[in-house]
Amino acid sequence: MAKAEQWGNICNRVNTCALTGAAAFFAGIPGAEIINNGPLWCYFYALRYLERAKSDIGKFYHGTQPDNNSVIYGTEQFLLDELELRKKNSAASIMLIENSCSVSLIGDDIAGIARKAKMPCPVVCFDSGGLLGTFCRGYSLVGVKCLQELIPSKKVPKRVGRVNILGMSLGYLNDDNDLAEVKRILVMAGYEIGVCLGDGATVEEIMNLSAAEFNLVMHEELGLDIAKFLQEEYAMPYVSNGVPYGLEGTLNWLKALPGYTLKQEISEEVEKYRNKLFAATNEMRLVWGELWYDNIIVSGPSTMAFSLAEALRREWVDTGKLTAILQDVPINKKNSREIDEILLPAENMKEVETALMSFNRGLLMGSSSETVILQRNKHAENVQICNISYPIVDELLITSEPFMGFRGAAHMLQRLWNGSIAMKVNR
Amino acid sequence: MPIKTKRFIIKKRSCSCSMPGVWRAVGYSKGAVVVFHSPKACAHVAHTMDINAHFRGIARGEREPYGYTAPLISTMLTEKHSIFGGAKQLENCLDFVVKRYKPQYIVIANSCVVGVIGDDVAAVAAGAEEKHNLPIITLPCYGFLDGEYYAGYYGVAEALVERFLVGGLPKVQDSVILLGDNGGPNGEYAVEVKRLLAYFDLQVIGQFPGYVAYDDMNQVTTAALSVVLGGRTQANDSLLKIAKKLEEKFAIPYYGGVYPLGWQGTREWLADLGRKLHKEESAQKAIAEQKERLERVLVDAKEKLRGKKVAVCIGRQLEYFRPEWVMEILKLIEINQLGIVLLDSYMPKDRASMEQAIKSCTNINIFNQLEGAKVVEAADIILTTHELEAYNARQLFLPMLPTVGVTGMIKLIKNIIKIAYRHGDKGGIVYG
Repeated sequence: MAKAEQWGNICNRVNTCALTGAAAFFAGIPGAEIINNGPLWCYFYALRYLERAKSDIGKFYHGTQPDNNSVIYGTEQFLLDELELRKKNSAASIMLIENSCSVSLIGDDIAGIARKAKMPCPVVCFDSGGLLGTFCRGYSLVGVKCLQELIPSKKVPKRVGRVNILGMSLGYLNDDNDLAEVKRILVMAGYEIGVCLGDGATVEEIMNLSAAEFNLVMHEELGLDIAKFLQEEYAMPYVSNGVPYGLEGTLNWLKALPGYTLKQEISEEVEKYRNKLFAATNEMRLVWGELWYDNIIVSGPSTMAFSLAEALRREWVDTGKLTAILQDVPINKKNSREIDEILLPAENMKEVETALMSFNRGLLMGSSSETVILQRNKHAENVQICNISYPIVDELLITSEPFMGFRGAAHMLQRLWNGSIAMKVNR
Repeated sequence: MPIKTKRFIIKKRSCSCSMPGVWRAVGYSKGAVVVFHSPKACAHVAHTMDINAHFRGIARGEREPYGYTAPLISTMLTEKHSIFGGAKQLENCLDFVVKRYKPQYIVIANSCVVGVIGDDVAAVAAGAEEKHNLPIITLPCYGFLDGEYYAGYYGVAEALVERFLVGGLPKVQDSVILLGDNGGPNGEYAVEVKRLLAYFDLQVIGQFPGYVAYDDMNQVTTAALSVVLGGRTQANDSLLKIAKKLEEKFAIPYYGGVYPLGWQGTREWLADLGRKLHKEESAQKAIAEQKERLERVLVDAKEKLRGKKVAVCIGRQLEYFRPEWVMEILKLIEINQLGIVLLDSYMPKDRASMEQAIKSCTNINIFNQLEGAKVVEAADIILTTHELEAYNARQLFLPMLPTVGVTGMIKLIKNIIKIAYRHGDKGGIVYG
């Protein structure tokens, strides 16, 4: 039996619900439409969350707006009305109907209602409220459900070196840039990009996903369960090796891929960045000293926070103590030589609260949520902030610079140095 | 080009949830801890609202306005609680909260899930109150099921009055307690109201309910007057009930029901307050000074906006948006009004109410969204309740909670000038 989550001040955690996660997966399928069968309040929350990455999501994401009587009489009429509207006004390639928490408890036969509406596209029905869990659980469960509904072909010929990317989502900060960098590196390394499930693949592409030689899991909390399903049902092997941060980190990540051989293009690019970053940061050291922090907290989705924390100490900065706060419970718990302390809000809530409330003089890589805690505790002046995950209210990131990969290594190092210099200038 | 709005939705019914209302009612009251009897994510929604409010405060120079933020704990209901009930989970969670945070009081907000499961929250709260000898407040509001944001907000405020306020303390002459939230004590609304109250030598001693510490609750009853920070209908009605309760129980007269929005509203607010306090001369002085202040800005605005054309797009329900103050400002700045576009976001009944409200304050033509495209295209400036998708349109977003008083009017007028004077073909939005 799973251990119950520890209580604590929710302000020390960052996450959102399965409803948002499920919607994020479908928002990553071009042509998909999503119907939120729940209160307008829950709909708006998920909409506003996803809008940060997909500003036009409102065109594909709709709410049924059931009233309070629906708890007794059901939501059938509200849902049928919305489905009728969709039939008239859209040509969806696939549709998700997601129930909110309280609507999930009513017990409406959503699939039956959808059949009654005779929708002209495949429909995936999902009880996805917060009762089910967090963003990643909604994303991964609906990902499997989507495949079960579509039933991709098993008869597609395999293509050597073709790789599907699983477990990336527009619900994660800077996802579009990271995905582009991951694809660029994989192509440079000689791989063919297959399906990016839940992050750009069309229904047609998904139907042929078994053409890939293997599935590459990026954020485990999003993609691992989907990879396991595909291994079981389609005999597709998978690799799950974290996400690539830092120059050496990215190189090591590539080396762990099946069939990897070092291509000249890769070695040239790594060499180019090694020299560039070394020379540039040495110049900075001359004026500004070392990039040293007494303490560092890295807080974010589990795979991201873990991988980033490792790259941070291995390649970018030095520190007295490095704490990683993994905001979801990782499927596979790991230790790291680079990370002094790994905290899970679900299991170490008191320690998480203490770490954040007492944090002073250091580097925080997290979200605006952690920044608020520091500011309210009057510690923010002594802490350098570098946002890596949602929610983000105090920084604008609109260029195409990734956090991941070779280009990401340069970008992150640039952010860290500039942040450090700004702190010293404003001191 | 047809008008397209971001987040287009035909709003069939009100949409908010009582839980954030509960949170906001005591969120900055020192000594309070708020427990959401809910799945974890519901608390994240309230927390996200708090994050946004925090940074909005910083952006407006209101940093660190209250100093205390109540811990927000979710009982973290999961699927198993939907089968076996969540009462035990709540009971255990309350034990945890008492031990860990040592609160002076606890407020429980109930989710729609709890409404469906049917947990007897009141019984659990009563049991825990006895066990820990600690006030624990809960309300019969369940997410969106029984009332909305203001049901939660008002319910908690009423409970605080009933549970914590005691009478018999001497009144502090010329002291005022503000009722409501509207961005908190350092928010634009409260700051402007305090400025206006100063004309009557009135001093604000606190803002109830969200910003009064548990230890200071009794100070509320020493106020010589309560002033309602009402705005929209729901908020105003709820807060007036609290004001009446304070009057009945603690002999605190109240001033409310008038909204100092726009010039007419501000003038009425000042004049009425003067009459109530028998300080008509102070009111006249305030009105004269505010009028002079406004007129100085109007002279400049008329000059700068001469020849400019404006369209107004409205899609918000009347409950959340009264058009009178906008129409008044447009008239005062003597700008050429091309028309008012009612967006397709209304149910027929709501649309009729809005149309009626507009017609009662202006003769400007009203268009539907389809017809309104040409109006919007011809306008130099668009005042709108919904963000339009056209990237080159010069839009001023009309806020849900506009700043009151002449200060609010000046702010809006200056923003209209700013958007009108965007260089070249630059479009974009200014938040009013």
